[in-house]
Amino acid sequence: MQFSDRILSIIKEDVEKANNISLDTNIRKDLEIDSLDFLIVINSIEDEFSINIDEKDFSEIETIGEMILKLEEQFPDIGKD
Amino acid sequence: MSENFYKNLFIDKSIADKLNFNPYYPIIESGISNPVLIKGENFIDLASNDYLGLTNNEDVKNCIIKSLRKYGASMCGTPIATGYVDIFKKAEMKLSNFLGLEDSIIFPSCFQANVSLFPSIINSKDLIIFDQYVHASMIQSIRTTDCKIKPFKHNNLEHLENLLKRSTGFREVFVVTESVFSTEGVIAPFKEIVDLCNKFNAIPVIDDSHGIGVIGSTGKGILEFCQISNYSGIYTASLGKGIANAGGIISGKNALIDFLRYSCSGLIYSTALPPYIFSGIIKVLEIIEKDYDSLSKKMWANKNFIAEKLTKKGFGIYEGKAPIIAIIGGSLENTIWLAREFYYRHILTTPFVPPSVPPEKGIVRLIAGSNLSSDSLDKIQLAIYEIGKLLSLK
Repeated sequence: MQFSDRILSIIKEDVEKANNISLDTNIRKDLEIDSLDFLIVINSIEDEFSINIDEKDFSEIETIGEMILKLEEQFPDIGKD
Repeated sequence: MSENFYKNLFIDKSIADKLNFNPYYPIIESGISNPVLIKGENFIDLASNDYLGLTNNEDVKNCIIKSLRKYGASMCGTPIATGYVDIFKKAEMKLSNFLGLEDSIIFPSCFQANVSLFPSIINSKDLIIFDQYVHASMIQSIRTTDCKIKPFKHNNLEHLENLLKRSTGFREVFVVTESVFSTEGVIAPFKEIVDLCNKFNAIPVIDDSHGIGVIGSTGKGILEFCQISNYSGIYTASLGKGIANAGGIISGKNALIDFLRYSCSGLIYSTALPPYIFSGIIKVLEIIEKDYDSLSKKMWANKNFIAEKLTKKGFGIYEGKAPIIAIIGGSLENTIWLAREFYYRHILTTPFVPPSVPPEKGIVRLIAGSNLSSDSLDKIQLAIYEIGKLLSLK
């Protein structure tokens, strides 16, 4: 499974309203999640890829696509196992 | 001076303006007895947390008056200085015995107790796992620490267990939840959470604010409700709900409480509650020990009566295992509208709107205390009938 698909799968698992999501989905507006819902997603990504994320680095992120790019930028080897 | 600073302090009250009704900060001209007085008129209280209807109990009031005469209005000092009056100590011991825990300390509020807790005990190498819907005071406390924090999905034991399984390498792991989630009245599966904590060597932390004096076979709260004995975690609770007074406690092992007495800034640097409050707390605990059975039966009968009428009239309600009725309001406007319609019929309720609840999941909460009269119940029934009719026409 591609890295982006794994992220989409994690969000679908963690967020109630995430059945129909794409890279363009706005995380907070479209999914109506608060900061703690978002932290649950961040924690799941950490566990899935064995990384340590500082959630503050992701506070300005709007779409799922932007989040994936930020992850790839911060962790160049992410998802390449 | 920045003019923008003040311009940016904006609260959107457009819905309140549109409905010509703001349910927040009603000015009450009486005590929380039933009825309460607003603008000179009688209202039925379904909004306060006076579950057992003890705020205006004559024995409690007489005890408080006697104490006020003996000790005065305040000790004008923090507990570590002049605030630790003899009945402060007596109330702590009474609460500890009531709960079956080793020791307790009393703060001016449970919000203050919760907010002060984690900054006092947490190390940066710790982990705090917490239910995503715990009270704002706990979230604030957790957020002020510099350790790793992980919310778990609301009451989701599977998610909690997965997080615990993956939580290795930390100095200590804390698992935080509350007994009764007060917007919907849902009770946490705390026995199972304590079992998971034991399995993974984590420390449970429970906020029992809506449980103490309210749930359990003799009103002793969540530990009794879940039949948990020898609890070795951390316990906090408000004394301004079922206990009908003021203040908040942290209870638990002697070592924890003694440590907090000398290191918890929220306790050490805050003026102690006035002595008469401790007398009130002690008296209410004595009443609960003696009369919980009859008080609780009335509280549940009142709650069941109202819930049944609402259901019959087609209202959507959440019914947890706590004596709380949550009417599903949905949108912000509809939730405030519902509260307004009850208010128009002289019934006080508590509407919960975002950010207290998720978007479009507004709730109007009703707490029917054991002191509701049959006349009040008749008026509530009529109001439910009338508002139900309006709802069916909407």
